[in-house]
Amino acid sequence: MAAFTLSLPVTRKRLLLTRAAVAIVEAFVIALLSCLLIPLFSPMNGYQYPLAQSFAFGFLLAVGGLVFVCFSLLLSSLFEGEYTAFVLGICAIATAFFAFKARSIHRWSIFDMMSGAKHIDPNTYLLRTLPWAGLSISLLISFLLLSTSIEITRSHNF
Amino acid sequence: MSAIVETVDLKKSYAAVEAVRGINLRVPEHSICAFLGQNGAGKSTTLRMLMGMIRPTSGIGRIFGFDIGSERDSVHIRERVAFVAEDKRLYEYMTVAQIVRFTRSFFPRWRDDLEQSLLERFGLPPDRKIRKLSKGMRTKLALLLAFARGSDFLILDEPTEGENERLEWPLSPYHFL
Repeated sequence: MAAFTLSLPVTRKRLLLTRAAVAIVEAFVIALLSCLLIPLFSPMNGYQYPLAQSFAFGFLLAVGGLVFVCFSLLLSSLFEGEYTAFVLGICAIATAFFAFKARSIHRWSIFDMMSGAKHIDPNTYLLRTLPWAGLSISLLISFLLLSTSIEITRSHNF
Repeated sequence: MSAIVETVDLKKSYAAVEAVRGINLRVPEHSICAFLGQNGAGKSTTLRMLMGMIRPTSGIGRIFGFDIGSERDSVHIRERVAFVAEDKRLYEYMTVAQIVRFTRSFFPRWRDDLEQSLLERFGLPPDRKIRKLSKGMRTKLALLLAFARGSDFLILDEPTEGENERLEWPLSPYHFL
């Protein structure tokens, strides 16, 4: 963090929580807005796509994305370099993407949870239910990653 | 005369490297104090410890009676002490006016009069993005952001870096280190 930021009368914990809050809001906005494009443009091709379905997919993307957001925050609290956390994060996500292709751990794939792949009706291609277990685990992992980031930051400095 | 800054055997280590080896310092009220040393002597580390920005490894340090080793006190220290760091990175995406407004929001005793006079004196264009400012202009902006906080004490770490002109600073209301 820049010395200017650290010279402000706030604790590092508050700085980290503010960054996390901004990142989480941005992740939700990006996920939900991108999903709204489908019902918006469907009528142009003579189709209708339910808005509720669109929000459901956006919600899955956003909650699954939280894990990546919190993982990035953890990396940035562990590594000082400006681009170190970013590069390591990209590498880790790419590795996870290919690792989850392995049959033994495929059922735990966060990417499948984010796409709702296992909960889509094969006839209508619509979501039948939400993957509540996957969503809960994602939220729990995000919380643990964020808590660890806060503790690491506090143990290093104020 | 009572002391604003007092340290006793203050130390900071990074793994096996001892950055600061037991410094004893006393800065009285109404004084200007220069802090000299070779590169790598630990000057910046000491100043950052005094600001409560980094945790001392051992020893005691107080500013205005606040313990520099306490998280809660460190916030009070930064409310009352302005700091211009050697590293003058500011938020590149903001304009001069935006960063002034942002910084002002943290300091209830912000000096609007000083802000206006320094903006004029330093010739800082309010609508220009920080990324488009020269190194000298950034230094002037960092000084403005420190001076206008209405702080009781200023800590300046290489404050004229990148600045070729002779600056006439508004010294009178402050204690310096």
